[in-house]
Amino acid sequence: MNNRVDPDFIKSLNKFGRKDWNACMHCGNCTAVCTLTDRGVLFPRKDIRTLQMGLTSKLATSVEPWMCYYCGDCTDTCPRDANPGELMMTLRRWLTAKYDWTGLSGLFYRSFTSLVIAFLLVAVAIIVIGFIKKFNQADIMHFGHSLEFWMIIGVFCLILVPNIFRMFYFTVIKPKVGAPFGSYITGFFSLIGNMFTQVKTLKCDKQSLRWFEHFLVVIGYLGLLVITVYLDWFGTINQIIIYAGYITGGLVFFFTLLLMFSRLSKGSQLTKYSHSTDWFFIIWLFLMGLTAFLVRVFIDTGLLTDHFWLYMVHLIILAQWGILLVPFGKWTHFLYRSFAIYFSNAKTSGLKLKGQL
Amino acid sequence: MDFEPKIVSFLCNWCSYTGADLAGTSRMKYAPNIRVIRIMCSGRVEPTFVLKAFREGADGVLICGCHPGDCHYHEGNYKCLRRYHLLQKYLKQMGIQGERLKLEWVSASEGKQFADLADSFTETIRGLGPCKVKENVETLA
Amino acid sequence: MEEQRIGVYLCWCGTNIAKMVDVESIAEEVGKLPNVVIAKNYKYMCSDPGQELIVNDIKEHNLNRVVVSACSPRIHELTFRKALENAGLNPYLFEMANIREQVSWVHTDRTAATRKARQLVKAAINRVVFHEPLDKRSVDINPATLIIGGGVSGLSAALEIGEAGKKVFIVEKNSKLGGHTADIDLTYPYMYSAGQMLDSMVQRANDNPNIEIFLESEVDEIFGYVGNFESKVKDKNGKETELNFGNVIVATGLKPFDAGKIDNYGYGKLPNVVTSVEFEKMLKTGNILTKEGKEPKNVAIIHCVGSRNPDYHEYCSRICCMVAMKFANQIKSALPDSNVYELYADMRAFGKGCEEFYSLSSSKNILFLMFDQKEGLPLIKKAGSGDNCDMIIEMEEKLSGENIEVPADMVILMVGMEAQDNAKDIAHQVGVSMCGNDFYIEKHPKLDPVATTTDGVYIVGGCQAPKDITDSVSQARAAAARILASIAYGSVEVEVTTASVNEDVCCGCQTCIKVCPYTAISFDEEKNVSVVNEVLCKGCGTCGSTCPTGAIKCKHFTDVQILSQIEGLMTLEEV
Repeated sequence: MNNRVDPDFIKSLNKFGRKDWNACMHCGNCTAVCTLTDRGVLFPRKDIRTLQMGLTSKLATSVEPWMCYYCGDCTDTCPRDANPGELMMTLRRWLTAKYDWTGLSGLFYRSFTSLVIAFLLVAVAIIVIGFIKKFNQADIMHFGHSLEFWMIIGVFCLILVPNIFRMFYFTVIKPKVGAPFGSYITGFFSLIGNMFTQVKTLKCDKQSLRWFEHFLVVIGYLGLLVITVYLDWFGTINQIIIYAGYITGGLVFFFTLLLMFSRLSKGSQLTKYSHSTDWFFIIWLFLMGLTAFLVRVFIDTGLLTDHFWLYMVHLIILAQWGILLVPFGKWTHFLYRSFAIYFSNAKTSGLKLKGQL
Repeated sequence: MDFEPKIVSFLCNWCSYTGADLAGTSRMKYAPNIRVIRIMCSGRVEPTFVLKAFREGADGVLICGCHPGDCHYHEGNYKCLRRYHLLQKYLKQMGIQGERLKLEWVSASEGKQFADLADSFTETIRGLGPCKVKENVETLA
Repeated sequence: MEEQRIGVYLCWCGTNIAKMVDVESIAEEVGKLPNVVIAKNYKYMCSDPGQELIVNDIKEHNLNRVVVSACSPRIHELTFRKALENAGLNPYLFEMANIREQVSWVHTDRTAATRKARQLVKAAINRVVFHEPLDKRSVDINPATLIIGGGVSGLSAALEIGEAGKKVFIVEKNSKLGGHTADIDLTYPYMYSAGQMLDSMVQRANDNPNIEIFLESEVDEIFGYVGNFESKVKDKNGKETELNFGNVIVATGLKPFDAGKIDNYGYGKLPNVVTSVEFEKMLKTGNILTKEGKEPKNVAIIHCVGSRNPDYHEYCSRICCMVAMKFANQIKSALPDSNVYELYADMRAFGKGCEEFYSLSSSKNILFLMFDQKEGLPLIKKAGSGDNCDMIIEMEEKLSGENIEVPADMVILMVGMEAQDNAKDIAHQVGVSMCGNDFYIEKHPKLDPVATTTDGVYIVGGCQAPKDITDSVSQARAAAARILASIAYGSVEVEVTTASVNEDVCCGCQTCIKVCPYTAISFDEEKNVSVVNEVLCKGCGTCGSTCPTGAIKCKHFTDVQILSQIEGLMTLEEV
C-alpha cells in the first residue's frame, strides 16, 4: 500500500465539502466525546490525520466515516473549530465517489454544472419519449410503470451491487484483514436489521427525534415504492392500496418538508453546512412524494387527463431520482452504512482472532 | 532497637551545600541520618573537626566539596584531598575504620547524587555498626 | 565573655516545614536551654511581621544573639542579617539552621525529621555563642567594564554602558562583531531584518569613544576582585594589552550541534541535507536552491536535531521550533508551489506573538508530521532514479501510528545549541562555574539569572543557556544596568569573613602563604610572621586549617565555632 504523503490531496477535497483541514491539531477531543467510537473503530481524529497526510490508499480502506451518524458532538467540542463532523460527511462523499466504478459520483460532487447537465439530459429524454408516444396517457403511464421496474433492477445490478463489491475490496480484501468466513454468516441478520432501521443513530445523544423522522421517511419511501411499482398504485382500484399509497406518500413529503426546514434553519451542527448534493437529495425526495400524491389525487378527482403535465413532471422527477440520485448520491448511504457495520464487525473478528484486540 | 547511624557532614557552601539544597527543592528523599555543617570551602575542614565529630559520638563523617577544577576558591578542594588521605592513615592508627570517613565531590547541580550519597553512606555505616570512640573515651575518663 | 542572651526562632514556612517538623515542640525544648532567652515559632519568619518580631524582641529583651531555623541560609541569611542591623545589632551575631531544604523537604518520617531539626537548631545555638561582631568593608569600583564576546548580547551590554558615559572593552575572537546574529536573515515572529538591527548597533559601538573594541583577540586569566580586576588581552599577532576594569560580562555565546553525529540524517553524505545555520545563510543570499541549482519542490524541516535526546543533549534548545516556522513561512513565500513538511517532536511556541505565528503557519498548508525520538528518528535515504524527488524520508508518524514516506528535495536540520568548545577555559579564566552541559551557572535561576557567585562577573546570552535574541538582549541590558548601578553607588562591599593572623601565635612557617589561592598572605620579614591582605582574601579558610599553631583565625568560621557546632549536633539525643 502506498504510504507516501501527498499534501496536494487536501486541495482536491475542497469540492467535496469543507476547506479548512489544517485547523485540526489532533488533541483527540472529538474521538473522546464520540459515543459511537469503540476499540478497533476509532474516529474521527485518525481519519483527519490520514487525510491531512494525503494517504489516499489508507483512507479508501476506512469504514469509520460510515460509522458516524453526524450527531455533531465532535464539532461542538473541537477547540480549533476544525469541524470534524462535516469532515466525516466530506469523507462519506469522497468514499461514495471512490467506490463508484463509473466515476459519475465523483464527477457530480466536484462539478455542480455536470450535475445540472445530467438532470437536464434526463428531463429532456423523458420529454422526448413523451413526444414519441404522442403524450398518450395510457401509453406513457404504462411506460412509466415499467421504467420504474427496470430502473430499480438496472441500478441495483449495474451500479449498486458492483459498488458494494468494490467497497468490500477496498475495506476488507486489499488491507488483508483476514476476517473469518463465519463472521459473514453470523453478521448477516444484523446487516439487514441495520439497513432498514439504522438503529445505531440512537446511540448518539439527543438524536431520537431525528432518527424517528428519518425512519418514517424511509418507511414512507419504501412503502410508496412497493405500492407504486408492485401494487400499481396509479392503476389500481383497490381502495386499501389507494389509501395506503396516500399515507406513505404523505409521510414522505411531510417529513421531508420538516427535514428541509431544519436544514434551512441550521439549528444543529449537521445542518449548518450543506453541499449542493444534500439539497438536491432532499428536494427531489420531497417532490417525489408530493407529485406522486398529487397524481393519485388527480386520478381520483378525474383531473389527470386534462392536466397530464403533472404526470410528466412526476415521471421526470422519478427518472432523475432513480437514474442519478439513487446510484450516485446520498441514497447509497442506506447500503454503505449497513455494509460498513457488517464489514467492520468482520474486521474486528479478524483482529480478535489474531489477538490484536 | 535498630541502630541508626549518626553522621556529621561538612558541605562546602558553593557546590555541595547548594547541591544538597537542590535535592531539597526537588523534593528528593533520603535517609535522615546526615547532620550538616556549612563551611565556605572543603579546604576549611581540618583533622580536628573530624576527630571531634567521632569523639562526640558520630558513627561516620562525610566531607563534600566541589569537583576538582571547579572549586570556587580554585584549589581548596585539593588541599582537602591531601589532608583526607593523611587523616585516613591517622584514623587507622587510632583504630577507627577508614570507611567511616568519606570524601566525595558533589556539584551544585547534583541534587540526586547528594541524595544517593546520603543513602549509600548511611547504609555503609549501618553495616559497620556504631563507632565505639565516644564510649571508649568515656570509659577511660 | 558577656552574658549570652539568645533569641531562637523556628519558622513554619506555612506547611513546608511544619508538615514534617514539630517546630512547636522544638521551640519549647530549646527555650529551656541556658542562654536562650526567647524561643518562638512563627508561620513566615522572612515576612515583614516575622522580621519585626525579631527586631522588637531584640530591643525588648536585649538579645545579643539570634538563631533562625527555617529555609536555606543561601536564601534568607541576608534578609535576617538586615533585620538585626535594623535593630541595632551587628548582623554577624546571627546563625541560621536549614530545616527546610535539608530536613522537611527530604525526609518522610516526622519523628526522625524533628530529631534532626532539633540537633541542627542546638548546633546553631552552640555556635552563635561564639560569633563576633564584624564590620563591613567596601572598596572603590573601577568604572570600566570588560565584555568578553561581541555578539548581540555583548554589543547590547556595551552600548548600554558606553552610551551612559562609562568605559567599555569588548574582546571578540572573530574578525567582526555580531556573532551568530550577523548570519541571520529575518527574525521571528514579526520578520524584522537582523542585519538592519545589527548594523546600527555595530555602527553605534564603533562611533562611541567610550567603547574600545579588540577584534581577533582573546582574554588571558583575570586577576583581582570585584571593582578591581586586571587582565591581559592578546590579539592574533601576539600583541598584549593590559586592562583594568571593575566588572566583567561574559557573553561568549554558543555553537550549533554537529549534525554529522546523527547517522540517520546523512548530513555530510547527502548533499541536499543542510543545517538551519546553512539554510539561514542561503536565505541571506536571497535564493533557495538545491546543490544542483534547482528550486526545491519538496522541503522537509526536521526538528530537535541533537536536542531532547539522551544520546546527544537532553535539554531543549528553545528557539528551533520558531525558527523552523520562520523557515516554512519564508519558503512558502519564495516558492508558493512548494510543499513544506515540518517533522517535529513537539511544537514549542513560547514567546510573544509566537503561538499566533504558529497558527498562521498551520493555515498555509504546511504539513506537520510528528515523530517520537524514543521510538526512532526519521531516516533519510536517496530516492530511486524513477522517483520525482531527490530524497525519501521514512518515519513513524506518531499522530496516526502509520509508517509514512515523505518526499524531499531539500532537508533542513534544526540543529540544537551547545556550549562553545572553549567554554571550560573561559570559565576558569573568569571564575564562573559550569553545569553538566558546559553552560555557565547563574547565581539564582529565578531571582538572579545574570549574576554569578563570583561578585562582579555576569553571564548573559547563549553562554548561560540556549535562548533567542530577545532574551539575550534583555539579559545583556540587565547586567549592564546592574553594573551601572554599582558604578553609580561608587563602592562595592567585599567579603568580611576573611582570615587574620594572631602575630603572637604565628611561628613564621609560611605554610599558609603556600596554600593561599589568591596570594593574599605575605610575609613580614621584620616580625617574622604572616600577614593577610584582607581585601584580597576571599575567606575560603584553607589557611586556617593548614596553620599548625592555630594562629590564623578564619572569621565567622573559627575553630571554636565549628567545634561547638559539632558538639551541638550530637546532644539532645534522648529528648
